[in-house]
Amino acid sequence: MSIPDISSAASAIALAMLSVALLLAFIRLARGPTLPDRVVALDLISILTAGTTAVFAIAAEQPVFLDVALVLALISFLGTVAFARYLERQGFNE
Amino acid sequence: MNEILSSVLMLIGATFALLAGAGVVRMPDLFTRMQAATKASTLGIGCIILAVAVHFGELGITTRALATIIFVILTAPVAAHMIARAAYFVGVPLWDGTIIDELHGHYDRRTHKLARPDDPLATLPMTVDLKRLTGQTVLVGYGRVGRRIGEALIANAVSIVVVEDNREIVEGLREKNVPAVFGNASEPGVLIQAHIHKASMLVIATPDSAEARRMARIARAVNPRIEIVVRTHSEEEAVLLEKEISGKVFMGEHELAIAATRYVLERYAVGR
Repeated sequence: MSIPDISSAASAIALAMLSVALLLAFIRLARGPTLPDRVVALDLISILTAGTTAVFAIAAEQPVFLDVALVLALISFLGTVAFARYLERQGFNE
Repeated sequence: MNEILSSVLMLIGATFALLAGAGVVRMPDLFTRMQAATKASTLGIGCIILAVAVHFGELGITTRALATIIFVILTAPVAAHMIARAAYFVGVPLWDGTIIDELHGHYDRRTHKLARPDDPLATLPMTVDLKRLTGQTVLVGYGRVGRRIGEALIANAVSIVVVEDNREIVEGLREKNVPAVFGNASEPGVLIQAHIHKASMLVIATPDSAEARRMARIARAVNPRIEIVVRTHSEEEAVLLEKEISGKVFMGEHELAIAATRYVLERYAVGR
């Protein structure tokens, strides 16, 4: 196996694993009996998406995807914190 | 070389991400799910971004990758903590297998502020030497029985921590430089203040068997290998306790009889 093949094989496997992880997170998102469960699932989904984008940066040999991952991580953090503040103030009516 | 390293890092990161997903589905309650999700995914994404940095090898990309990793590591725990806090206040149910809710009763439900009871006797002062809080004996009750046990143990240089629900006794002990906690030992928070999780022995010198059982259960849950010594005054309780607690049970009248018998026999041996 030549070197670029190792890299593309590894990124393919990594993408497959990340997709399965995303699927599992979606299961929790759909099932999660309480609202905080869903918030945790969403947080996980955004981090996993950022990870997928980073793997894609390697697969497509385009470093610009790394910036996408950075911004995703930033925004997901803000979103989670906003949810948490709202949750704490409001309680929830489920 | 770079390729192999980045491939390995990528696969490690993806494995952790997969574990995070599995954890979030399989864990029994919100808080355990959150642990799995945030810890594993942060490590996973850290490894993957490191793989990107290694793969490209340019300075600009490496800098941005490091910045991303540092940012994620700084913010993921904060976000997780906030969700956990909000969920706890909202009243998300804990898993059935939860043994002790350490936060129970400590938070003001309305203002969400830590409502530590303004009671210096209920918590051990920071000045207590930590060495005395490992492998120590926790002595519950400093009354007629406990006091004698405590004084003898101190005289034999055994480090003890006393739990008493009489404030004056606690103050007196602290003046003599004996670590003492004020409170009812059948509440988990109080025993934990006495560092029961690091203790080597628990001596229950209070007469109430129901409370003794509760204390023993808490101690065993937090510290399965701790040795337990219990006081009782009834034959039936002694039998029950020995079975339930798997510790050493001393029954008051029994020990009295043994000591008196020994004395009488000695007197006969001397008289001969």
